[in-house]
Amino acid sequence: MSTDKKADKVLDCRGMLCPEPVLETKKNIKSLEIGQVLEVLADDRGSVEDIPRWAKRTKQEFLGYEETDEGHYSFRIKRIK
Amino acid sequence: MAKKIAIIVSGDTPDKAYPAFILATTAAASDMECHLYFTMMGLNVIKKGFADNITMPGAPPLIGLINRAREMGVYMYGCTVSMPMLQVTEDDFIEGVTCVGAATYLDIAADCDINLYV
Repeated sequence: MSTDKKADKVLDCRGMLCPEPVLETKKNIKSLEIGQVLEVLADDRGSVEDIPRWAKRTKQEFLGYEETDEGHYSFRIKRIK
Repeated sequence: MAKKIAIIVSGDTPDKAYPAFILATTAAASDMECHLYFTMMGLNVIKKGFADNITMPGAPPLIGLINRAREMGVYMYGCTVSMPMLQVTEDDFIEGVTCVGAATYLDIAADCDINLYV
């Protein structure tokens, strides 16, 4: 699911601590056009639950995530509003 | 309609200040309207310079969270009753703090979906 479409923008939140990945995701999703996809890289453990819930709460579309070989997470969110 | 959250911050130690600002910034990022009401020793947290060097392992520096909260439109209030107790005036606070009393807090809290006391 995460390789369906190349992300329009990649946001690197690796090394950031809770709640910064969510705050940065919020800030950056606004720079996308509606329908574009943001890929968020994070290694904060809380992100796995936080990012999907944040997307649902703010009515953006969470496309899925994967854990990479390098040990971080890659989330994909589509801006729909 | 946006969800609303109010948090009373009653102390100036990291275990009070951190949860308040982590929740406030995350609430703002989650499209919630957030109100922080600083009372008693909590007033120290919004004094100029107080938070500049406060850090905790595993969390961002406190001043960074406070600045983000201001940028994101989190409302901050200083309790007028507590101000003489701590011998502080409005000029001692960081920018963006409004000094109000108990009735204002209650008026805001009455319309909130989430009300917390730390």
